[in-house]
Amino acid sequence: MAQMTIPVELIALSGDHRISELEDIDALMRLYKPKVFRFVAFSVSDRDAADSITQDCFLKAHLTRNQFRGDCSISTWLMRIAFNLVRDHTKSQKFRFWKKAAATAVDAHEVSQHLPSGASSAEERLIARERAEMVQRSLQELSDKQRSVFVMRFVEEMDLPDIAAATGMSLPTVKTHLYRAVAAVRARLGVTL
Amino acid sequence: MSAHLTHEELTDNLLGVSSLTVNAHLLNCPTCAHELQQMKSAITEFHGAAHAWSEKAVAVERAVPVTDALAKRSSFPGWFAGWALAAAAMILFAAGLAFYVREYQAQNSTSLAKVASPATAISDSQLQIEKDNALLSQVNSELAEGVPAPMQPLQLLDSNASSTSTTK
Repeated sequence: MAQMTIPVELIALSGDHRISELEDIDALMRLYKPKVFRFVAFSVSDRDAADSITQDCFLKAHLTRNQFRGDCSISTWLMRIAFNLVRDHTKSQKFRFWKKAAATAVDAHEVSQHLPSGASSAEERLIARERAEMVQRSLQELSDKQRSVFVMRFVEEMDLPDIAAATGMSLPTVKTHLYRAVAAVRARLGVTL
Repeated sequence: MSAHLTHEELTDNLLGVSSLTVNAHLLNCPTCAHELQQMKSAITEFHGAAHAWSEKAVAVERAVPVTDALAKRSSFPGWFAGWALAAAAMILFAAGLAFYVREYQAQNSTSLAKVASPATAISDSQLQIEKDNALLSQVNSELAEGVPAPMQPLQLLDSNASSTSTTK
């Protein structure tokens, strides 16, 4: 990836330190909120719902901080909570016949406009934005699990074992979902051999 | 050179799983190398846009203190707050309705009384006074008699009836 984020796991090293880090909810949210919000927003494709679920995620993490055993990173633990909340949200939406129009949908065009202008020419920037938009649109065609796994791997840059820990899936299942997700993105991009 | 890379091999490469054979193939196959490069570029661009967008979205929300937002959320679940508000609104409405009905009935009865009094009330009172006067005069006449009515000698009520009975 061209743009690398700061690995937040490096900030918290020891188990005791990580547990004490959970006490400071403000610091926890400052550090992890963008990551959780991003994952949730691209999973549910609704900005308002993403806001709400992200708040719920941190509230739940704060209330159940004593249950954190320290066997994984705080980031993975938070992603596991977020994944479960997204799953619950999706389940509740499935049976909602009066689903409102996505007035607060995460707009692919809006997101692509935030693409850092690393490309040299205006034409290259336009192509890059279109490609980013297409990837985001292809996420809507994926199943919930495929989408979650794809976002965790390619947006959050999580390792496969971390994804398995966060989703509660086995490693081969995670890989299978990733293969299918990448195939759908390839099809959308029109990239075929 | 063998056939093009399989989807699994391409995906593995995207996932960072390196393989000597795949790397060797990519060096010699511009089609596969181009496709892989396109996929990597698209994902990198989406990654960059997603991060920039979310950073901006979260920065806007940071204006609200985190603890305040969480306290607001933790105080009551959303559905409970909604039901409580609805119940309070119903109670207020019912109380208001009852008060209004009572006031309306009270107003109605006083206005009816007011409407009825001018004509009938005067005539009623005059009639009552006449009745009272008649009763008083009757009492006075009874008191004026020397012997009370129960103690007076018996009299035949119908003289004709007595005469017919004697003639038979």
